[in-house]
Amino acid sequence: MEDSAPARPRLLVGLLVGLLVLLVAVAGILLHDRRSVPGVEARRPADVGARGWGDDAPGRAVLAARTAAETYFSVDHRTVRADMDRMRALGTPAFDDAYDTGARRLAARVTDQQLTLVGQVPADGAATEYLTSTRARVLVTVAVTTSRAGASRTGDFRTRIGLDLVDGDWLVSSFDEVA
Amino acid sequence: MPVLGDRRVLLLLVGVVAASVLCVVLAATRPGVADAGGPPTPADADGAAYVPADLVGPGGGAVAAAVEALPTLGYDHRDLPGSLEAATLTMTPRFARTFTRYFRQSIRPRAAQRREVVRAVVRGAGVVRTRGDDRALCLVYLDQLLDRERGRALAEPRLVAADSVRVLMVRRDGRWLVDGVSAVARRADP
Repeated sequence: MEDSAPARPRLLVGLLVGLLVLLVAVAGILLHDRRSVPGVEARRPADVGARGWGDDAPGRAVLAARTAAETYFSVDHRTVRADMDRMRALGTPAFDDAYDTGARRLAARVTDQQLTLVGQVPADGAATEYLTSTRARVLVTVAVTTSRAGASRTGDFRTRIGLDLVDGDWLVSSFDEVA
Repeated sequence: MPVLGDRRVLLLLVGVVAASVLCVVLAATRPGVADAGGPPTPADADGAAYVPADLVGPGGGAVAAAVEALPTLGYDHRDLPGSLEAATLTMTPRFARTFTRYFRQSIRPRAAQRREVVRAVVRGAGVVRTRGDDRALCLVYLDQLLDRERGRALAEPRLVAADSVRVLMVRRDGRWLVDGVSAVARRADP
């Protein structure tokens, strides 16, 4: 009993020192985060009319998404490799890796069945779902016409395209069909 | 509390409190949390509704109102007048008249005959363009799920339509109302 009295303050001091070290470490991480991550601000979406859009960051985000949607769904069995390279040029490295995985299957199908796919964005088919100074999500509806041996049919696809602003250019970071 | 008489403990306590306050302030003012609105949250299988992003400008309010209004386009054969009333409450009088005609001619006979319950679920919504502060055109991904057929609940809801619709929103007396709903047409932009 006589030894427990001085042991209690020692334990408390040890706990407090540990807690203080932990809190200083968290503060350090938060400070580093603040310096390395540029400020992200919400932005007003582009006013995209049938006639076009402004040449500003919000407008360019929508334009990049529309281009990506049409490129993604426009594949010709005679030029399949070049068509897919055009899509890769629009994406971030991480997106391109994911795209390559699925692209092989699509390329094989398009070539085997001698398909020609043409994607077109209808009037008012693109809208800004989310927009900050560095990231965007754009909804793009695409009418895809698939042709084979003279016969063709058209189907609509609902897509959600994620974009990152990289060195002043909006690049595709994700491409999802909203099935 | 005799331990508080210990100078080391007191100093450490002051340090812990100060470091805690610093952490809270840094976390609360972190870039990307305080300055940007949140991204949209998808609807899930458990019935949680889609939550739109915080978009800057009048389009943001219009999208939020459209996301709230469009689920009322669902209907229940057991209370078709109630379904119609819920839908038209979100509309301008002009569009409510148009919708009522359509509801009576197309939806009501079908729903009554097939004893259907159809749920409208928003899967995505964004701003196409705005005109001034009181008009906005939104694009909404809207699913229609059949919950009941011939009066019986289905084991799993069946997807009967996956639409992209243009929703014209207008602000009247500070409230955004639906002024038109139409399918996105297959005609490319000029």
